[in-house]
Amino acid sequence: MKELDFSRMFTLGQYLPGTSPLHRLTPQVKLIGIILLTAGLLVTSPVLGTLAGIGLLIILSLIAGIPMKFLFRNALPVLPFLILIALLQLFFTVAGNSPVLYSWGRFTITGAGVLNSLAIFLRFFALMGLLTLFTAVTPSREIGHGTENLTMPLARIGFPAHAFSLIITITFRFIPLLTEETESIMKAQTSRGARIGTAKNPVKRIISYMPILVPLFTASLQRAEQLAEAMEARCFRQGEERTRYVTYRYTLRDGIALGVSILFFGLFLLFRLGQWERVFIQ
Amino acid sequence: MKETLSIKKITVAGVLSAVAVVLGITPFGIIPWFSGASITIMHVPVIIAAVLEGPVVGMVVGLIFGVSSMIKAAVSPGGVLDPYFVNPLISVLPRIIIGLIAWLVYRGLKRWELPAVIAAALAGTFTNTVLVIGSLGLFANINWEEMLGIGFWPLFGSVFVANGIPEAIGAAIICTAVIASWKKIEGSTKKSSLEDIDGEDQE
Repeated sequence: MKELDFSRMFTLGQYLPGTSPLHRLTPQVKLIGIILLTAGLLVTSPVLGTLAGIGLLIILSLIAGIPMKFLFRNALPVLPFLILIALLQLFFTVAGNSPVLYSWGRFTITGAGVLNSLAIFLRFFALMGLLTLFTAVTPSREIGHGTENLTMPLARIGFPAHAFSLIITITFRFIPLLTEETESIMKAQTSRGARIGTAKNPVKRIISYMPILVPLFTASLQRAEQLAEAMEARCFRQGEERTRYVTYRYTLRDGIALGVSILFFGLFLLFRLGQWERVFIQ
Repeated sequence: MKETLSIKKITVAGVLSAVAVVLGITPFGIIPWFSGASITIMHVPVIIAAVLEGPVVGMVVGLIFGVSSMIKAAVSPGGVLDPYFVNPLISVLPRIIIGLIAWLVYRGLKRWELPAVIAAALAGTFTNTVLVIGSLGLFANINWEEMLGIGFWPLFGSVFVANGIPEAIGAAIICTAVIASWKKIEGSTKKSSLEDIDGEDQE
């Protein structure tokens, strides 16, 4: 029955409780930080900019007290693919004006090729580390609250800020519930003699999934309807007058974190605009 | 635009987003297929949300599904293309558009309820396939010609035929079954006798 136990497969980020300055940041600041840094890493120059990002990541993980090993522990399964892609980039990047570093038969290594393959590694590790760190210091409820506080100003122009954050909160609340639901549907169908996922033939396999998926969807829709009724019965109303059990206050720490995020976003853009890596390519 | 989303829309959006995430972490979301590349049905909640509750709910579910697939690609990568899915232009943006397209198609054919659901499922799936592979070609900076021996457009076509079509058929079957039983579309299911009792109580 081990294959029916999904709870341990829940890998969408793992929260590590702690009291580090990074843990105690206001949720809004954490969200702004992760958005700025992710966007920055995506636009920055492939090698120098990403190296700066990895530098920042090392400092942040030291502050948070989360070992680098934890941030990259899931990199192993994908490493062979990464190496393969990087090797292909190394040999097959065609750039007319790039200096040829090494040539052997039809394989040529150019400056641009080295740069491209290096960039694939660095960018993947930087983003992986950053997102893992974010989920490690942010409990799920803070993501909902942070989104709400962050989008509140938009509510004036008609953006359903409260509704949106509530959707996120419901999603996080229902992930473990629905995982359990899936397990019990599977057990129920197995006890009725269903053979799930054992067929080698993909078409038969999809057909064997149907008795799981359709009840899962209808059960979820039922739960959504019950939840809506329960909330209405308790006079739930959307709007500014709602208060919360947990409130967040901005402190000096948040100001510093915000400053550092903006600073690094600017730095990433600078690396992009500066194009200092051109020396390798031309 | 003063009116915000109704409570039911909020709960359906939240719960269907959770289904999309759950499909991603259980083996049901991804099915190994003949062509080597697995086919996915993780986008089905987005289509169902769009058909049942409209474009806004569909797009919100698409957004949450996209972000979760981005985080999953970064935090626990498992496939050859996962390193590219940490880019939100590839993993998030196409998924938001699924909801919009599925709703538009459903809306346009609403007169024929069941064919509309099937068409919405097909359109939503093809949106997913075309936009995700298209954005891979646009943003991923892969030299397909040299890497896989074929150019990007032949690859695009073969993935569309080998994966897009079975995905669309799978999505259409699931969407029809779920929506028909949920909305009790005429002829598909009988009304339960309990509901008659409820109705009398309210009067």
